[in-house]
Amino acid sequence: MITDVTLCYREKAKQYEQRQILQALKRLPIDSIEMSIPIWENISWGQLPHHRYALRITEYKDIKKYQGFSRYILSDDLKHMAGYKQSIIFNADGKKIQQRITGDAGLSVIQMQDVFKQWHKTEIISFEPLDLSGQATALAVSWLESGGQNIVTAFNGLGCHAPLEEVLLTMHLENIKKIEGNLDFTVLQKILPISANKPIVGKSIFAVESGIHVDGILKNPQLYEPYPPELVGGQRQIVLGNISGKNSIEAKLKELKINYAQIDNAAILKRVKEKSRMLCRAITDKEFFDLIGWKGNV
Amino acid sequence: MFKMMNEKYCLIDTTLRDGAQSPLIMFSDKEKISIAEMLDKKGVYQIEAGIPAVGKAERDMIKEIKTVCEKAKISVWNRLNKDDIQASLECQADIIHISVPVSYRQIHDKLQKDEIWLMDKIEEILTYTVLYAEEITIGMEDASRADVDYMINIIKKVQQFGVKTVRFADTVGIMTPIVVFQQIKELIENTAINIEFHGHNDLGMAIANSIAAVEAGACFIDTTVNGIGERCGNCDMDKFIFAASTIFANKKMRG
Repeated sequence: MITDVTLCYREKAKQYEQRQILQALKRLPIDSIEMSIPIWENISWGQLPHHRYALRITEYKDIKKYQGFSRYILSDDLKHMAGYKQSIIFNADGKKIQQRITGDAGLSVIQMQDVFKQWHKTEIISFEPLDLSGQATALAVSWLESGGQNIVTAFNGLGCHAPLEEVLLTMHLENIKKIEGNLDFTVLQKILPISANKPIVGKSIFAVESGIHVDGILKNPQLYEPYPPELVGGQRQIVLGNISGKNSIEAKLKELKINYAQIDNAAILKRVKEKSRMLCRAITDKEFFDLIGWKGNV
Repeated sequence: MFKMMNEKYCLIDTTLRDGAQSPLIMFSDKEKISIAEMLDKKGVYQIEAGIPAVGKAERDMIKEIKTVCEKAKISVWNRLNKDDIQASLECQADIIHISVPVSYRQIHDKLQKDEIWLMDKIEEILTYTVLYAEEITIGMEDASRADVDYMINIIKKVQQFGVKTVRFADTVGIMTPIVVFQQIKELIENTAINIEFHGHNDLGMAIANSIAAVEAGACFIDTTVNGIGERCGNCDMDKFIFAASTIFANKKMRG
């Protein structure tokens, strides 16, 4: 079961953005969407359907005050276990049903296997790994692979969490839970700032410049792509620059639908590399058109 | 109870080779020299400085990098062919790194050859390279999708030519730490080779996988400055150092 806590970290966002995030999360294969009381008070528009929503509360009596959620999470700041903070999860009737363990104890995934064995001996645990040592995704997936049932994520790793998108893709590739259809992150990508090379959702992760890689991708995209770009709404893109090869030129001409029978790829490649070195960056399609003397529309 | 398989490991920085393959980044010559000097001063064990076969400008830059680095070993990246090796020898690098595709996909779809051809080619290229190179390392490209027994055969083959270090490349960044740990441990147990782990961050696991590689006994970890690199990048040097210093508080890291 994946509980996503993205909304908890958007308390200062505008109301319409919070609602957009909620709608976007509802379209993803998430089992529970968690929010804080300020978020709920800001976006509530009626009764929430059961089973999908969880609320972070600050005291037990909030369960009666904010009815309609399937789960309530009460943090216990005083309770710690092996470097992890503990919270209690209650059901709609106020009965304790799970314990949540949050943090990063500075142990590797391999070292954590012994810890997981201990956790399995106790009660039902929901694991909320934090990314302090850059291992949150690996820890979340590893917990599931060890037999754990519940993890906590946030889109783009908000709040130092395991990024939802990384966990979903890993679960798909590891056959823990297959994705049906494609994942739609479009709205979240528009609302939240995301670095260009962010795994799964960065806008440039399917761009390829290296001549060797372009050559490979033309033969079989799987050679240099971990999964099809379409699965996450991405698109393959050939970029021309200093490390391009002759095949890159041919592929670019094809992509731009230019008749390349009369074009000397080797000569064009030389000019592309010179131009790229001069500009100290990859060249744009417009600059490529100029290089080959193309007068068509850009 | 888990027991760490080695006590020492070194960093190999590939910012100037794999990092520079990011379509988002292109370094000027001045920047390349500055990065190499910075890495050398930091005490990085090895700097993968570039791909000599790219052209004369690249070769000239690698030669200059070699002159400005006092301690770091300079390595250069090659495909499995004689032209690449000859271009590299001109640079007088400390280490000639030869990439060998090892997965079924890479051998059959990219090279459009078979496993027998690959073994023969390794023999041909290494027979030539050992005559001139000071040190050779082999990169097992797409190791994460390759058969472990086949990789053991490859390692045993290259060991016949005195190769002591083999790179295990998670080329498309799809590994998880437990698999990294198991596979690297198996390779070391069967061949006693030095493993260099090269992780990519496509699933956000480059750091966790590199940590697992060290735990399995890898001697070398590949990193880049700020984690730049193809697609989602490589293992981020600073983040890896931070994680490793937390997790292996009592272990020794060089460079």
